[in-house]
Amino acid sequence: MKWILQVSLLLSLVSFLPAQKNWQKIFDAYSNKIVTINYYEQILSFEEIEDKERVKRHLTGIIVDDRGLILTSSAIYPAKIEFSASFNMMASAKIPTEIKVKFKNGIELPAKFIGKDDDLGIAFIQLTDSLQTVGVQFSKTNKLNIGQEIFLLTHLPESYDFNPIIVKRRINSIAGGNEPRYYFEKNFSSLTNFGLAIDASGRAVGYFYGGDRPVVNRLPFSGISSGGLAQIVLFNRFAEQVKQPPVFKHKQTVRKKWLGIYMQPFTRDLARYFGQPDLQGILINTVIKNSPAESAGLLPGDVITKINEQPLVAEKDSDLETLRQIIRNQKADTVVLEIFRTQHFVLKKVNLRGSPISQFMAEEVANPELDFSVKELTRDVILNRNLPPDTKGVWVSRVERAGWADIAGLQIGDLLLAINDVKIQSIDDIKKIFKQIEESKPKFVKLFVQHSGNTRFIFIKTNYQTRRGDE
Amino acid sequence: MLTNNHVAEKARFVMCTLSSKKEVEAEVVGLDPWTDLAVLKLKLEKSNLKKVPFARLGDSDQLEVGQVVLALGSPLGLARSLSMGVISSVDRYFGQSGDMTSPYNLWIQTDAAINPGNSGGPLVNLDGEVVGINARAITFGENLGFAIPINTAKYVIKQLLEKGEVERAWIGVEWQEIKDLKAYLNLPKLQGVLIREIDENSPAQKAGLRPGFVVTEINGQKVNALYQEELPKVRLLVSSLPVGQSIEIKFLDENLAPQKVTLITEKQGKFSGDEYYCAEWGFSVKEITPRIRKHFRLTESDKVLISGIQMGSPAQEAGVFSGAVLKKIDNQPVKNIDQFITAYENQYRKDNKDHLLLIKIGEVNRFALIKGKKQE
Repeated sequence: MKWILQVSLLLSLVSFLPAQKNWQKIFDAYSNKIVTINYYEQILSFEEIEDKERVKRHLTGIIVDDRGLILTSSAIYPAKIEFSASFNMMASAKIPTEIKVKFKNGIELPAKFIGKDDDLGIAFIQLTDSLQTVGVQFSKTNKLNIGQEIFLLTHLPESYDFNPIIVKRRINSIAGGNEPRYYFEKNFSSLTNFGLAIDASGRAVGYFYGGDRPVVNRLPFSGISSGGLAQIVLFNRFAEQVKQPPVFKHKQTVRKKWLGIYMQPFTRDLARYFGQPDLQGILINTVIKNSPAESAGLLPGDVITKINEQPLVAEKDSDLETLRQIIRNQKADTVVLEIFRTQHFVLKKVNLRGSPISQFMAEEVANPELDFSVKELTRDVILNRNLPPDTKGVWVSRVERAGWADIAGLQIGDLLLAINDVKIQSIDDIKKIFKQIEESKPKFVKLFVQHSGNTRFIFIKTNYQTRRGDE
Repeated sequence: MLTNNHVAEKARFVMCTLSSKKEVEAEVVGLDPWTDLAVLKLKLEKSNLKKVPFARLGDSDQLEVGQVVLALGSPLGLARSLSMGVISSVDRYFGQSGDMTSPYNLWIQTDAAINPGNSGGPLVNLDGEVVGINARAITFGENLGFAIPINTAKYVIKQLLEKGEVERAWIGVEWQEIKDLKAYLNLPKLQGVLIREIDENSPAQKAGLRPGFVVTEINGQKVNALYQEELPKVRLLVSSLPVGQSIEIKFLDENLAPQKVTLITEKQGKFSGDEYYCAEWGFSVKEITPRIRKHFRLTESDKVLISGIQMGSPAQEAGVFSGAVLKKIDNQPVKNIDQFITAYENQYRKDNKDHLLLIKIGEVNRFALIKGKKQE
């Protein structure tokens, strides 16, 4: 029996040595291409008309080209650019400031925020000094297999001095059809749920991230995470973004395409109910007002069977993602949908538009005398506050604590319908009237507001004559 | 017998325990959710009783802050308990949201200990007269109890005994006090009540009244509400106008020019709708009354609300959820609750077929397929 033990010992040594070499090789090849990023995030305050506090945060970045372009997590700018029914309210619309990139050799260089892609969970920053960098060369691997070994390169949290960490995991689960999502068990500590993914032969295949959980990132100690699944995104899904990074320009940011429907899976049971047991597709349950879908004449109850002749199948909620991605990443302005409606197939041409902006991108106007700010109404606010879809006007986005407006009883979320009997329909209306008030310095300002469905008048007692601070 | 609406409103069978510990059955005579009051009658004959001792009602307008009062009731089920305190306030006003709402009266506030189970019990003065009906307590506060003034109750009792309900007139106006408006206009002598909201399709809207107008006179009676504590009085005046009759309203328009309109009052809509339980599907539905419509910001075409859902039922499996509006069944609009109940009882619940429901929450719809029983 002794020789068996010796052989197995010998074997383990044989397999161990190259493995260790492999780890070292991979670490040496890539650890100088991942960087730590530190920056200041503005903290949103509802009780002040300006965001005054900021907090320093750290992230991991991956150098992706020779001109100083760095890929990082979209957590660097948590505010949503596009409207969605749910969003993280606690994000400031201000972009990150004083971004600094720290390289493996200790050198720290300034960088600027370029833009982000919320679907992919990534953002781009670029070094401000024109400087030659060595970026990661990604392989064009378009498939990972279950059980496949994968190396993950990222940084440890602050308490470990942001030291690089390399970890080996295996692909534990693959979900989705056309664009598979590769999950692995992410049970190690890291600065963020973001880093470089490398296969066993030492080729960089993509990045990993811990899914879209922005709220977690807002908490203190957010760097320390363990457990849960993270997913690997292969290069083919973000190659285009690396070549041409999304550029953030506030309201003018180029947004993804938008159809304007809510949908649900067209299950076998529904197919049988519709008398078409073999029909497959996606069921439209809601058509949003003033959307491309409404203009094209789509109706709730329509079953979308094809998009640009590509058949659609949705048996469960996660299958809906296919159509969503096709629409959002559509290059053309027009798509043709095949619709099953009242026992007939019809073709509908839809002129897609850019997705509406979120409330974070909406223009905000502050009045530092009256001590409140207003924002133009965006679709996400209309949806969230359950307002009629064609509501026009502005809403109160901030009220300075103990300011004149606060004392008069104005509340965040109030819809501002009129000031001094002048109807407010747009942000320009409010600018005009703010200017008038500033000039005339009235003793009172009369607001007509709507608060959770009820309207009322608010009379703001001003104090233009006695400045605050002198009282 | 007088108690709170929230004590009696859902009762199917009422049993009362007298101070003699004798149990007597009672029937509900009438309910008034707007003031949270209910009138019941003991079935004395059934218990072979001829008469029972009864309480004398006092005059709540004579109450003074600081006056000692006693609260009687069954706090947390501890029957026949008495607690003592003073009147903390005689004119406590709560805005029109949450369950403290009481549009037609101010609350009596007392520091006599009031707990769940005190509801419907009397607040009595030291002469032994009932001056209020204990109805609310602030659970996270201490010694903050609230009672409905007995003078409000007297009016309600009379109406419930005579008609079985309190009939109230509705014109569709929400009011605001004029304290700040006076300062804004710099008109110290201004009297009236500010209109802050006009309900859609209401008599007031049809008559051309608009938010911002100051109403000075309603049907010949001068009105004035400088402070919000005076608003219940104005609402009470409007509600006690004759229903279906022409009344005159005098007001100041946006230029403060005196104007008048006549309008025909309507009967106030139901406080809350009828509820119906669909046992086979496993959910309950509720009529959407104007009050609920406004509260949840629903549209005119929303008629039936899904008010509850049975766990493990076909409806839950289909993805129906509580709080959604039931819009369509098998592509047919749900026009009102009676139509739905009739169709449900005669057809849906026994035809064993699949039925496709369209439900709506906010602006988002969802189809839910309730599967019929398979015929085997």
